[in-house]
Amino acid sequence: MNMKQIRPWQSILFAAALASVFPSCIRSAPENVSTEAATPTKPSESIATDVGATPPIHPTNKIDRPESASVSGDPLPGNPELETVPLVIGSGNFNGHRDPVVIRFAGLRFLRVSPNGQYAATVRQVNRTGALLQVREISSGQVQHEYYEPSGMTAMEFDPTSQSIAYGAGDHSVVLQSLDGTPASRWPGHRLSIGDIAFSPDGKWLASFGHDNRLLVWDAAHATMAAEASDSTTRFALQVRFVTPERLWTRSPDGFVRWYDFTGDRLSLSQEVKLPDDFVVAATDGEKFYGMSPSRSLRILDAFTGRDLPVPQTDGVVTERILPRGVSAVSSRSRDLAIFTSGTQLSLWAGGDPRQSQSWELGASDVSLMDSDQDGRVWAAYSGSEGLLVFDRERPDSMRRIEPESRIVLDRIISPRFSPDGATVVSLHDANTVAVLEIATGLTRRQFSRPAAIAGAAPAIATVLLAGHQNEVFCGTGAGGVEILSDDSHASPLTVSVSNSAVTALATSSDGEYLVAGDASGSTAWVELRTSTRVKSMREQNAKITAADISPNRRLAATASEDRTVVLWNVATQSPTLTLRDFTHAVQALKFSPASDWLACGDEDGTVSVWSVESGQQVWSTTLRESISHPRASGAELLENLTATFKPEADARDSGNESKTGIVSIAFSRDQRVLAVGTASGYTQTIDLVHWTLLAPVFQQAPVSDLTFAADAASLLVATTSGDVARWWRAPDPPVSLAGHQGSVRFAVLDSSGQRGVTGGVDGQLIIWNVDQGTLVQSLGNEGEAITTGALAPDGRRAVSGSYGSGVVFWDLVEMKRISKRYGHKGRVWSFSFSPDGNLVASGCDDQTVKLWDFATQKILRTIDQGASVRFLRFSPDAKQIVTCTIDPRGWQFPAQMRLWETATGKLLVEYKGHQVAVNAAVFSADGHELTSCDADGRVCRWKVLTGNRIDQSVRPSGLSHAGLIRDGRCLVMRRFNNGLFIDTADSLARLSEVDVPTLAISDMNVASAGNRIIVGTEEGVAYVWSIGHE
Amino acid sequence: MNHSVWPEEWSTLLHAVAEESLTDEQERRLADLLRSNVAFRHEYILHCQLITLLTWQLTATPGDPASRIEILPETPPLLTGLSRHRSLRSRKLWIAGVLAMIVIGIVWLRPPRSESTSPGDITEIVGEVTVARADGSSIRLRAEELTQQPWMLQPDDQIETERDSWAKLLFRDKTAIHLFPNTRLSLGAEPSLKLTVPEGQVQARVTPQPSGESITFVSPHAEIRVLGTELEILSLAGRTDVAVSEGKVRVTRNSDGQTSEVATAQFLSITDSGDLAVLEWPQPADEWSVDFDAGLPVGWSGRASRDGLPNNSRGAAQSVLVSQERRLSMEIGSPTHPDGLFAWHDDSVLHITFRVQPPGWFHIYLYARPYADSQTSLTYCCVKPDLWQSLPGEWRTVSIPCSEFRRIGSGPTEPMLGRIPNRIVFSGPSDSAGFALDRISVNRTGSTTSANAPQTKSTSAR
Repeated sequence: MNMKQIRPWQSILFAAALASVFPSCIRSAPENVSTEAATPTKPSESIATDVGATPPIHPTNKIDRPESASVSGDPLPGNPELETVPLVIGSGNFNGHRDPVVIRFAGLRFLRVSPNGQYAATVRQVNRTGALLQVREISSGQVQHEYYEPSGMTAMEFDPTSQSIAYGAGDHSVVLQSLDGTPASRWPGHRLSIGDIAFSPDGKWLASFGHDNRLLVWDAAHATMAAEASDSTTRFALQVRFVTPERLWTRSPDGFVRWYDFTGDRLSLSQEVKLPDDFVVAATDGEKFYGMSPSRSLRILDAFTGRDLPVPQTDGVVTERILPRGVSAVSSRSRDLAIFTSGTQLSLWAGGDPRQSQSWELGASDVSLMDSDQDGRVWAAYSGSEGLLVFDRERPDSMRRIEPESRIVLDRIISPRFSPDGATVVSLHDANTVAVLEIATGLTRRQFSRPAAIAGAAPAIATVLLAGHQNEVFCGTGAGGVEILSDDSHASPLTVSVSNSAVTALATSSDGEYLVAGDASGSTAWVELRTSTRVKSMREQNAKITAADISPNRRLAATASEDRTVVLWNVATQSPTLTLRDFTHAVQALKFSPASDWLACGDEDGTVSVWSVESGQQVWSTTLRESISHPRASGAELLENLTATFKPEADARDSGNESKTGIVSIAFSRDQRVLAVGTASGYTQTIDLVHWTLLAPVFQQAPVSDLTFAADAASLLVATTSGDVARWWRAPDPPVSLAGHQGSVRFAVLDSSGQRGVTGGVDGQLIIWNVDQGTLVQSLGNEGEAITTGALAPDGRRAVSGSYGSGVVFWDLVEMKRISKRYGHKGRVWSFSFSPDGNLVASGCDDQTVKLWDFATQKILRTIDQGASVRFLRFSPDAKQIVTCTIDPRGWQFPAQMRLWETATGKLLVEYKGHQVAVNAAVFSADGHELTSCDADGRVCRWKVLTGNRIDQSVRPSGLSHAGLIRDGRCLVMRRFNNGLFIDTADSLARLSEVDVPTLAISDMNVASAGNRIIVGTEEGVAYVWSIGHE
Repeated sequence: MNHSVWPEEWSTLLHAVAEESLTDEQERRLADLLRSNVAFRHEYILHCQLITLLTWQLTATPGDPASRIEILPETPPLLTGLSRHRSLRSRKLWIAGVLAMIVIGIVWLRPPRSESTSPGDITEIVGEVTVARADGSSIRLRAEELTQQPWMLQPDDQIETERDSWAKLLFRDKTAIHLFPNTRLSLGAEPSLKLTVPEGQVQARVTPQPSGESITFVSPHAEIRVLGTELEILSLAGRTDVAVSEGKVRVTRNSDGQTSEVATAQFLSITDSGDLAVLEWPQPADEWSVDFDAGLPVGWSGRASRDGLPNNSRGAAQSVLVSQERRLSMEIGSPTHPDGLFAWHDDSVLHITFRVQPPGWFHIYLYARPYADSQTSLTYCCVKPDLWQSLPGEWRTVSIPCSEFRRIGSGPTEPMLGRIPNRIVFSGPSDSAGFALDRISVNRTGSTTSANAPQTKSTSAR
């Protein structure tokens, strides 16, 4: 056989034979792939072999890693910058959940026009848990008041005098915020969040309707609760409205409108009105409901009777199919009805009569919020694409946009920059003012007037901004000056002249001693900040300086230029020491590493390179995929708009931030494990500096202007030229998918090593998986009965499962067989737990008992009465105790019990009091001394097991369930409703990571107790397994 | 090894292999057979083992590495020139070893009987399936047992699925039969002609039979004679339902011999005494496509987009935020077409050209209705998160067999025949940059129209 000419059939057979004889060859393939990733590869080869592969990586020299890059993650001795090294979650993917931080353009949750038509109030979510309330004067469009609510807002309303705003806070309080500057008044009273809020027409009373099904009426002047109504059933809150000061109604998802009489100190239910099941409410004026039938034609119902009212007709044509989007609003006094109809038009019916109709062209097809003043004169509409639009009914040409403001055009060019500590972001507010926004709240923390503006002159056009280390802001100008803006009231803003051409790049030393300024001609100027004087200027490069940085140890500075060079400077002497010339394109971004030993550079072609500053040698480089580094493949529309709106003045035409392609910003994580680069096309690409691999990119929808890692390295902050800032949470490396079920996977668990997975689904299959290989080992039938819950012994050899009934199914996963189905419970079994030795099984049931089973005999050893339906239970690590969580018969919204029991005797040991709703899960620490529990309202509590004392707690804005500990108990994993995972530090409950799981709903989540793996089962029938940290 | 049962072509090929005289055409054919024919693969391996054995015998010399390990068996007469000093013991051990390997190989390959008597194979299983043999023995098969090769059926076999298992049978003439849960199917002595379905549900795609022959399905209530068609049969205690999606069948009721013909897009429910009333069901075309070039079709969720279109495209659909059942998602979706979007055949393939921005993803949902109930909705879902994220920000065209869609959620409580997709929805996470679709199409790979595959747009951006 001529081995030089391998034929197809030979290769098939050879491959099959090789695979069967030497399976280890096949298994070692990933290692080979990994090795090849670190060897030079032609780009075309890489693309041809795997379109999904990452671009090639070119190590060009031996890599001497700094101590900080050690895989162990130990802190660097003697380097305070690097002493806080976080728990390693993965390679450095920052594609987890995205939290808006500063979002000027999109994401409005509430919109209200004040009754007098003076203000438009908007609420946005900030940093996931908080909310930013901004009150704009409609006439000027300027923000007059802004407030930050750390717990978020769930409802909002102006009072009838337009002097204050009431809102429902995320901590379940009612908050009355006066616009005159007096402190807010906070009224606790609800047990769950508030669904709606309403003032009485006279403004004396404020009604709050909560998801705890409590209707509270407050005396607004005296901040006291006047009356309360509740029928102790489980019901969510949709709407509450006062019709008169003595009469109000609530509306709930059950379709009932409940009318109450209010006498000043008493609320009494007067009648219940059932709305038709097929009626969708779009708006209400209190007395009528405007909404849609299934055919989307307009229906009007009497709120008092629930009966249909005649629908006005226009020219004999019934208003059919006019509510395609269901967005409408009614003015409270004039009863004018606005309906966002088809296309981009808004119809306004005076008094709700279509015969008195006006049409307004909004220019947006995605209007989602509308409101008006009480007379129906001033209207506001919010569109995701167009922003906040306002118009005056009396003036046909009055339609205008008040948010985002026109100054955004400037902001797009003068890129926002983070402060060195990542706590604030600096951007140009308008031509005369620089604003500093707080990352934590979104609030405007400071505003600086530019020196020329203070002097009454027109400021030179700003070209580049920089947040200094001493809380000052530097603003480069098109006239060659650097404006120094400081909080120091004794120092008036001043301008240092550094060049004859536009300043295009700025950097300061961390001790605040020097400022480096690059200009459009290639010159670099040094400014001594103590004296605010230019001490040196040299033209070392032949084209515009695009970026500058000073190393953290303050020994070196670097300037990048369009002439394809980077110059390293000695800070002490302000003289050039080395010129890096191996660039093929203009260098647009650079950054020193935290250990000051590397310099990362990015160019306009999308090539990122890392250089040793000591040797001047390139140690690594790669070129990003073209679709990521060049905007034409994505976001082209946005960038074209940007280009069209920006008409640079002559002196700013060569400013530093108008790059259209390639890498425009760079950041190192503080532990120097991850490098992030931002592109002009709106992508952020992270790079694992331990294994030198490209990680998952994320898309920002606008060119990236600056990047910074949060201090705890749990998130990456990304600023874009649109002025927005988003926080991307760290995520583990991509999961392994286990697909084999037909229908929802309701039970998903790993053995202690994480190598064996077991899943059960509504298809009645129990599937055993080899997680390492992602392959199905065995599929066992459950005699056609769905599997909805279960547990796996830590060694993975035994399992139990339950279904919708009372039976407990025992499985032998060594023999791979269903052993038996045992009965004993008298209701649905919701939860199981194995003792650590795998011999005992505890089951919790609707029959209000916990039963202990001997797995060997499948007999019940003990029954522990619980007094309520048991939804969760777990053995302690020594199996001597069991923690159980029950549910109130009225539903999860009501408090239930979480208790600790002695396994041997069934004796109640401890009750843990603190949760306001049902507890969904609890997990013991490895030593069994602490317990962490989470509930459906988002509360996490840490407890001392034997005393029941609460050690710590935190609240998340979404419900939680399914808790587990990984990484030697240091990380707490919880399921976020409906499709996310939180990974927290177990001891401080600080968020390390938040993952969005690709599913509509996670149906089960568990962890490998001794390993670092998480498994989730999903509604779509796929289970995912994540490996956390470097295994 | 019985060479007499080899088909002529196999014999030619295997002898050509032995003589290293394969022509290019023979090489191609050999590769095809090795890929597609389990029995041939088995014969090939045995043949190669024999060749190897002979080669070693012929070529090993005292100085060869092979001879140093002393594996040369008893020297045949023609090799008298070779060394005779090797111990008889080691030669016997070697022969025993080779024989053991062959036995192990045969056991591993596990051919129950020769292919000449086998009507076909069980090619896919979900869960466990029982095969009862005519001799009274029975075997329980699991999915993992088919990973190496299909299970060869024998005449008179009875295949039984359980409450949670499925099976696919592929006959020699390419007739494919899917057995749904709780189904029994008996092959009979003439398995290619008569198949009995005492209970359960089968879906069959019957290859056109030679003139004068036909396949007959026998249920407790009727005989269903087919000539080449695609049909479904639901055999329940009180009735048998028959639906034909392609071709025609003749139904003869057992109780009174009454007959009725059921043709394409017709449905018949047979009881022992009721009327044999054929019901028409709307059968959409096999092929369906939408390209968004003229904007978003009426009733679709999403918005028209012209942002960075692929070459040759004039428009795409961009996902929009939708609220449904208190859940927000980014969505592009068709309206509900009561008559169905396309005919869902065994070989239907969905093609999409899409772009998703990282870290976005989307699932594809097909909502379907049964033949006899225009309201009941069944939900099928396709999950491919890795695929959606493989080329961030770039247009990509993929083809997904409709058979990869998995049923999710609860459907009708009573078994019903039918799978008419009347709505398609692409749904992703609400807080992402969303995704865009440039083209969606469905066609059949096994049909005559498969050559007219949808125009795959270039993946390069314009």
